[in-house]
Amino acid sequence: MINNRGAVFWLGYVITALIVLLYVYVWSSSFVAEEKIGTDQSKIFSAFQEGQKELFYLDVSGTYALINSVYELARRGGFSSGSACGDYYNISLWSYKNAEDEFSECIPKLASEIVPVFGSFLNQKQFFRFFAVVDGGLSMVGVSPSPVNISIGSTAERVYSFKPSFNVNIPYSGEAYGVINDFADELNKECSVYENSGLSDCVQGVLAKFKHGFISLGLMQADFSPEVVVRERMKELERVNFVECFAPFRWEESYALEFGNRFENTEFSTSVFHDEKKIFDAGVSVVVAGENSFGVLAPYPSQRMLVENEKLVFDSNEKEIDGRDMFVFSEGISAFVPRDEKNKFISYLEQRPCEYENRIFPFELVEKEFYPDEGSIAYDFAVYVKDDKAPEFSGFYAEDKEFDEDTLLVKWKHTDSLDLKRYEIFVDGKLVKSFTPWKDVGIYDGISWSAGSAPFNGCELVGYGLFKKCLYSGIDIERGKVYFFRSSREFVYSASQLMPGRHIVSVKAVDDDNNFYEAETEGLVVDDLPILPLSDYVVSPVLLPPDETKYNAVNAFSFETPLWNMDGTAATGFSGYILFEDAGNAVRASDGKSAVVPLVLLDKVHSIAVPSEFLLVPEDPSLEHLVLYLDVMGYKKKVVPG
Amino acid sequence: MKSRGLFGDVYVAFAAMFLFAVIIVGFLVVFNVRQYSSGISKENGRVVSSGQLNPVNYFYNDDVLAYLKSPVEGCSNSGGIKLSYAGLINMFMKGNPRAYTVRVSKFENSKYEPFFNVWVQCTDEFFRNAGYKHFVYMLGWRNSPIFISDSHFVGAFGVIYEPRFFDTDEFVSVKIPIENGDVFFRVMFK
Repeated sequence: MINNRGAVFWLGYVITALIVLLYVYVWSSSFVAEEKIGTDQSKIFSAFQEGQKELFYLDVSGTYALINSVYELARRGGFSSGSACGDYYNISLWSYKNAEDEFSECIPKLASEIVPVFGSFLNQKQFFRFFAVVDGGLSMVGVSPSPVNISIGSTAERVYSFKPSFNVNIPYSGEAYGVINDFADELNKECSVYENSGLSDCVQGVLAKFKHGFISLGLMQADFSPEVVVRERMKELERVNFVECFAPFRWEESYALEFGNRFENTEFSTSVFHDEKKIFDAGVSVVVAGENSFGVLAPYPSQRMLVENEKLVFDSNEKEIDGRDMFVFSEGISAFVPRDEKNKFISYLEQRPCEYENRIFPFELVEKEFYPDEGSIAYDFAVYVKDDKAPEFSGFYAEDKEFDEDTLLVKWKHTDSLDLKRYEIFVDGKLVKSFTPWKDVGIYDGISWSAGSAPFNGCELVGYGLFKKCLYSGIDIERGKVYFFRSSREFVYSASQLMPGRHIVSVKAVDDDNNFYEAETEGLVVDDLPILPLSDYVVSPVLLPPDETKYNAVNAFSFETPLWNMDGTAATGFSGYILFEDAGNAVRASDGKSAVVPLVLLDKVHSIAVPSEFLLVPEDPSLEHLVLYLDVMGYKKKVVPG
Repeated sequence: MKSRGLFGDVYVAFAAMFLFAVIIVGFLVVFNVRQYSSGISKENGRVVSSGQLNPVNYFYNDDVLAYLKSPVEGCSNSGGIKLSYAGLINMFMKGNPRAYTVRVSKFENSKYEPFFNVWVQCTDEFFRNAGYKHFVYMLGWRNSPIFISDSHFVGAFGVIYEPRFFDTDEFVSVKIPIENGDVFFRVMFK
């Protein structure tokens, strides 16, 4: 049995223990967290790990984006958003001509061009700045100025914040671009002096011998969409230097929308130089051939045109847009030839083809696969081969135009250079004619320069009214005009208003690269254009002096004034002969300057028998070079009355 | 003397009770600290979390990210593939695997199936070499699991019937970009 002291002790002990335990319980519940120890730290770790996952995702996707960028940039020929030199069938040009027609190179820089392409491939949530480094391999560094915020746990106020960045590297050096540049240089070095088929042969030759260390390098073969084809066909018109020429345009239905879009947006351009050189702007430079006849070389009336609902609209009329061909009016202005009106122009149009030189060659360089299953890398690029070839021509000479007193016929064979821009003709150092085919050029199938008849060798006199023309193969070569004969590809310019005598004549052919070829020759202008024979005159025998017993002079009086040349042009000056048929000798007339003169027998030795036939022949230098065929020339004899 | 003895007994009694209370409090404190602060231990040479600690996976995360970045070349069955594991996943995903099967996925383009086989073999090898004895991993694409390495989760027709299993915090889940979307790679280390 417990005594009192013991009972007090144990009771107090128990009560105290309970009090303490209760206190500890209450006290501990006030500071022991609901969550487990380390939860907050774990959330921080978790947030950090989420960030690591984000960065990992960026690293991996960045690698894929960079690989895809390499392939895509190669397909674009190294240009992220098109070459400054333009494109050829959507293939980037590494060289072309600038607005001043100067040869220009456009060489892409891998480090700068790949950045925008990379940006388009990277699946990014936020804005990044990219920096590419090409140093053996290709590195792409991405830095975002905007932080990524990851909540720590569910507490919005506490976030783990970091600015994401990545640095991916692939073993790609972009060596191919250097090779393409070398190849383009080689093409220009070897082939700039060739053109036409010679140029193609040269390009093939360079391809055959160019060492590149890649899988292949060759001319690109591809099928292009109708949109690309129609755009390129229209661009070909820009390369045409001729004016008033015809470019048959095989129309496809699918082209219509492309045309419509181009014109409606007024954005059609054929190169990046479109600001300076734009040929197709709706309502600005596109015109429609009017109702005039193309056979007339007068300026063509033209109508501004709009494209609405795939129809050409002009003058409140609608024309179906299909079935049209192009007609280059002048530099920068082209026109549609309505199909339904084409037939009546066709003979005129077909003689005036639009020619242009295409020095652009599309290539494809193939590099081996550098990432599994991505395949080989194909670099598509086009090169405009520099043109150092002058537009040479042959068959150049200048000769007197028959039945003419002041004209040279300047003849030369049309150059084979398709990039001819103009011909310039100089006489005695002075530019007398500059023209661009086919403007103001009379075009004929052919001509013979030796098909004439006496007294001329080349032309044949035919009469028209009082006057005559001397036609070359039936063609009236007019003064100051240019002619082209298709069979012989011969140009003829009739240089007139030249004094009789020798003249230095030169022809200069200039191409669109400002290369030129010039030939010089000497031409002799001879007056072989007789003055129109006098027909309305009277003559009477004269005794000089009056006490002379035999007629020894005649008086001639003409009513014809002014005098005309036989071709209908005005003749200047007058003096004349009296030609006696019987005596066969000419009697020099007086030095009278008008048509009304007394003609004085100079040789007083001879007497004039009357009645007798004679001719009054105007003093004419042409007769020094011309055998006078009376019948041919239309001279009419008179009888001196007795 | 009595009163002194009584006083002395009470004093001793209170002293003993105080000592007893200290022991109890000390026990409670020790018990609580032990309960909440431990859990970090070594297992197979790696630091893992266990015990009462909140089950975070940050250690596993590091390993999984390291795995995805590692070159497959280090695997004895790599077949000469020079890709990272992430790149290898991207590669066989080009074959557009559709069927929800184990290790015999049906590919729309069977040309890529060898890459898948290499991936399975080399992933197993990688984690075993890393010191893990038990692990389950799966690949999900477009919100659907297309592969799981544990056949317990695959039904008779090869359909993975417990997709929710992979949504728990027990798994390390990493989103991996591929060329035609994203895949989710999830691993649970047992």
